[in-house]
Amino acid sequence: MRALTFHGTRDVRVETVPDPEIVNPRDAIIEITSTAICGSDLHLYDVVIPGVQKGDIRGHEFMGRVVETGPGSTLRKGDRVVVPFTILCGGCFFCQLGQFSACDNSNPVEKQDASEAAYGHAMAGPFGYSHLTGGYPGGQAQYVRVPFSDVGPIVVPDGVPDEQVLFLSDILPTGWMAAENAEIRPGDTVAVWGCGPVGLFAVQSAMIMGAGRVIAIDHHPHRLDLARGLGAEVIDHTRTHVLEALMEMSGGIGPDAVIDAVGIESHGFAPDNMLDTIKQKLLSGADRGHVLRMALMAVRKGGCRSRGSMAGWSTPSPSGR
Amino acid sequence: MDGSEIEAEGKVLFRDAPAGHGSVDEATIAYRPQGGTVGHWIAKAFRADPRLQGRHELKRLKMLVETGEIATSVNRREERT
Ligand SMILES: [Zn+2]
Ligand SMILES: [Zn+2]
Repeated sequence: MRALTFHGTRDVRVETVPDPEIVNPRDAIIEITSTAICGSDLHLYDVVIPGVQKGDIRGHEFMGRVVETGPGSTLRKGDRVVVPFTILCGGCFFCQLGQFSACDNSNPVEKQDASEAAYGHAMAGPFGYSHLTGGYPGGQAQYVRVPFSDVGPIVVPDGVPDEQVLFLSDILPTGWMAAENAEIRPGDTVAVWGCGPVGLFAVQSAMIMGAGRVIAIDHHPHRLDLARGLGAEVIDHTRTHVLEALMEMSGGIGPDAVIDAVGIESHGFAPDNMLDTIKQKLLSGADRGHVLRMALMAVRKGGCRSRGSMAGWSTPSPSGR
Repeated sequence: MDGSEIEAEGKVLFRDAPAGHGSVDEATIAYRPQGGTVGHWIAKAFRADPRLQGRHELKRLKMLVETGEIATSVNRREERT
């Protein structure tokens, strides 16, 4: 098959590689019909995440049609499925708690030692990511092997276009969970840093959860336009002092909830951010916490903060679902 | 253990974990490292350390019990070691 493979910093190539096959009983093989590029693919492209190897197949947001199933799969040949990016067993302590992204059994045993040493616990195994998380081949390819295919994949009906369901693979639930973790109550004022796909989904999720006002922060005019179009008020952080604006907009107490949807490669030239950038260049795996720190300053006393996506050491906590 | 390259004996204990946290499986293995202390260092360097191997095997047992299979990220059966 043809697949997008990693070769070095900012060097990815479409190559011919062996087709995947059923290896474990609960596997299924999916023929990809659509796949997306995620913000976290950029971390791999820039090699901000450790544990990437030459030849790794990229991509963790994908959907397609089932072409082969193992005896333990509940999928049927021809099923149309969206595949969530985290591989989850469904049977371990964490899966049974509903904290699927902390699954104990998806990262192969021999790959667990590195993340256990770095983060305290072994991470679960998403597709197309790092060898710290299992080194599973990803879905920016013609075919992908889906382990535990009886648990993760969402069967979708024919007649719905790919573009309407593809984002169930990662960014819609990531934005949704960021809003869910912000514990929004009806009428709350919610500030969202970052108007990329996760931020825009967090804006919409916050509204569905009853936020009275959503304030979206970014510097790309087209992203701010999109957020405005979804009903958010916007702040361009290159033109406005964000902290002051948020205080003024919330009657001097700060937003009830803040969401960081910028994540580990936040941009900007604030001194703490530049320091983080240097740290990140020297030490693959460190995160840039400027947005997180600003969000913590802004949130009202006793309010709630939440992050869309994280990998790094300023908050090395597993984020559950 | 008979037939083993390393002189070893051990036992495996299973007991209930509190508050529905499953069961705790514990393996105690006593062994005489080949080549004494230096041999043990060499084994460790090549990741053939019995402590690490034992830990891996317990994790594989847990996977097998909880999921019916042992997770692997290889794409083809012949790549499985
Ligand atoms: Zn993603
Ligand atoms: Zn699990």
